[in-house]
Amino acid sequence: MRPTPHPLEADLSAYLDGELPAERRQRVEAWLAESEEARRRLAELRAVSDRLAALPRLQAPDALTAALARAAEQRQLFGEDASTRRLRIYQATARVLSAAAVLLVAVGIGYYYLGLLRPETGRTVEPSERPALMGNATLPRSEVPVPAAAPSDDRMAKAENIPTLTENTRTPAVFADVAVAGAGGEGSETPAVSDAVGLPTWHGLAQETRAAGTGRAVIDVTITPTSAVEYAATVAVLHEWESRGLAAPTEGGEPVARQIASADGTVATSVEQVYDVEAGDLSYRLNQLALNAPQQVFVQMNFVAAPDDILSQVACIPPDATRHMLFSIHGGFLSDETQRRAALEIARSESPPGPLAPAATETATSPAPPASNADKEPDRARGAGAPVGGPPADSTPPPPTADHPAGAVAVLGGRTDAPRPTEALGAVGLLRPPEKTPPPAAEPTPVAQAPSAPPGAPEAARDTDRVTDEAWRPAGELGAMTSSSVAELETRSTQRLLNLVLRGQQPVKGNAALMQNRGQLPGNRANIAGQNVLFRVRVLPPLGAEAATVAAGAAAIGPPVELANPTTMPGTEALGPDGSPEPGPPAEPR
Amino acid sequence: MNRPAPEPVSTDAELVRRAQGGDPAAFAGLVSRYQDRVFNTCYRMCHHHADALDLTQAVFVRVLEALPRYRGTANFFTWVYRIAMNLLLTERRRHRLRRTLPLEPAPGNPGAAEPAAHEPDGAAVVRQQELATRVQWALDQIDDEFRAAVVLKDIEDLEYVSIAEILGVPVGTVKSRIHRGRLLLRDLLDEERTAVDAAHTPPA
Repeated sequence: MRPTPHPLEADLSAYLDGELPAERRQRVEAWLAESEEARRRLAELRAVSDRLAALPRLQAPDALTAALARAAEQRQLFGEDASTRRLRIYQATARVLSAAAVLLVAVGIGYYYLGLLRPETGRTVEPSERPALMGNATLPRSEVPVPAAAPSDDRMAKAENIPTLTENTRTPAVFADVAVAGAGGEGSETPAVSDAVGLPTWHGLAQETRAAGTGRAVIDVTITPTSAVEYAATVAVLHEWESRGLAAPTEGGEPVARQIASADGTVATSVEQVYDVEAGDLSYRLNQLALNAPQQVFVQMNFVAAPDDILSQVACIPPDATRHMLFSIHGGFLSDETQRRAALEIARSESPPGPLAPAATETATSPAPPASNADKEPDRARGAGAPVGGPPADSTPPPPTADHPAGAVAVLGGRTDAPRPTEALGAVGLLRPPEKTPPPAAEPTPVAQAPSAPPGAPEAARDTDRVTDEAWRPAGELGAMTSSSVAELETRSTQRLLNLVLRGQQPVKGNAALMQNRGQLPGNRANIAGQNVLFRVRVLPPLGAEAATVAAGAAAIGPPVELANPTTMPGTEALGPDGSPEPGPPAEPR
Repeated sequence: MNRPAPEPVSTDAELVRRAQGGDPAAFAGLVSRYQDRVFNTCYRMCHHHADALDLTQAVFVRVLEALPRYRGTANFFTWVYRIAMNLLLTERRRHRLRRTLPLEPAPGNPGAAEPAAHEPDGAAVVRQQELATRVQWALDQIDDEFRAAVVLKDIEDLEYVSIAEILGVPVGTVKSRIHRGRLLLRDLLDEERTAVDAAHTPPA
């Protein structure tokens, strides 16, 4: 037990530092003169202070300076005077007004399409009314079909509590949400357009980030409405953009008809149109689309970057209590080590107590996947989150919790033109918690769809089944990872960050994607902010019964259909019991 | 990429004024002037090179964002340090809330070695690294409030008044924290040395 300290002992450090006033300094000196213990204590304090002062001085790396210089340039902070601020206010106001105008038109168009789609009460479009197309084909624009709702669409709608057209409640509500989003402000429950464009600290650089100095980043957004209503509203928005010169069809400019092989051997025909959209107010636009089709929004950013050309950070906030989801690209600087460590933390935090999951450990330390994966087409799995290589079909994902909110899947990947084995690799996809049943060993990463409850299942169950945090995908699905792929992933807060930092010696291609798959949750949002970005929107028609069947579960999936010119919808490929593609007898088209 | 050329003749106030007026080079000059000190402080606080890099970047990004609102009432360097400390402490609180892997090796583990000083004598380098590693380990053990105080005082050699301004506490509190922090470090280093000595003492 230490003796009671001398009343002047608390002054010893200040005396040592020369911070005592004269009177107290004299008292301390008197005490030191008479007390050996005081002198010893002072010497101890001095020794500690000297040891601290002797610690080596570290220097920040040049890369940090470069990153900050780039941030300063991109920030466009400088020179903002009052007139500039006024201009920004005017621009923001104009955006809101523009949004409102678009909404009004879009509502009208949406109703128009809905009227075409279901002119009578409760009537659904029969399969025979669909475009009778097989294989890839193009349609005149005038014949772009409105969603080909299958008979089961109504069943899906009921299961998901989607009002039918005649009830006519969903679409206006959706657009009302958009209007709210446009009018909202900081602190409002609904994120405003300005929120996405703007100023919250952690994604404040989003709009200034140049995703790739050598070109433009392309953000592919695939939207798959689950009902004809959602599809019509989404297509209406795109048509409106096109009429205003904000969007232009891409990939030949004509809609492409696709055959979709379902698990039960039927063939559905869908039509796909891809638009290139200038990303001036991209976040708002994606908001609009996401609101129209909250069930299925798949966002993927593709880019080409020169060495040291890009420090991009992809951040998303999964649904939290207010069900906001943000997806931003912004400049950043995160070290490889931080990202590797974050990957381990994530793996650990999402694992049950106990040793770190082997797969997770391997993720952070293993070398790059084979380059052969690099050219693999990124999966655009639909619906149920497609946990490729993830839990077996019959596994039951854990229920969503505060730490693991269901409904958000973020996929981050990339590839390099040349492998860089010396660099640490990360893979979001391997951040899954350990599985109850180990996945088949040595199998190439298959493309699969996640288990989904059959139509008619209780909403809560299906919602849980669709996407959970278990649905992180392996990197192989998107190809070999870039040097630094995974960074911060907060599992105990509402913020989840996926950081993509490219500091390679080779030109780098990469992609980052986020799937929003919550659905039925008001206020669900996906915002993207970016400049120098091309926004490529692909709206897939609802697949109806076929899709529902396909999504019903991998366990029941039969062999794929052999078609003369098959174009299988990504994510609907049939799989064998082990998760690998399995051939099977052809099916008769309708 | 080379660092931007420093601004040797400009004062902080001048660089700040130019940066606020739209001169990115002036901001780069401010960064160049203080990034090493901020980085060093961040490293001593979090004892993780990568985290320190990230934090340093975050500090200057925050500075960049807040620069238009900086009115010069506080010393620029103090202002930057205050931002840094706020970020550091906030980040450390966040980290405490989540499980983390114990990636920071224990003292004695080579992985925990301090960066080598530029000394030609290999033995001296080893001794210096060992000592620095032990001191940093002890720093890691004490609470953030004490660590911040002793880091700012003993490593950054700031005056109590400046530390008080940075930490947002009275000078008396700074004085108390520095003293208590040093005492804690002394005890920790004593305990650690005793333990090491005991481990290396052959049984009688």
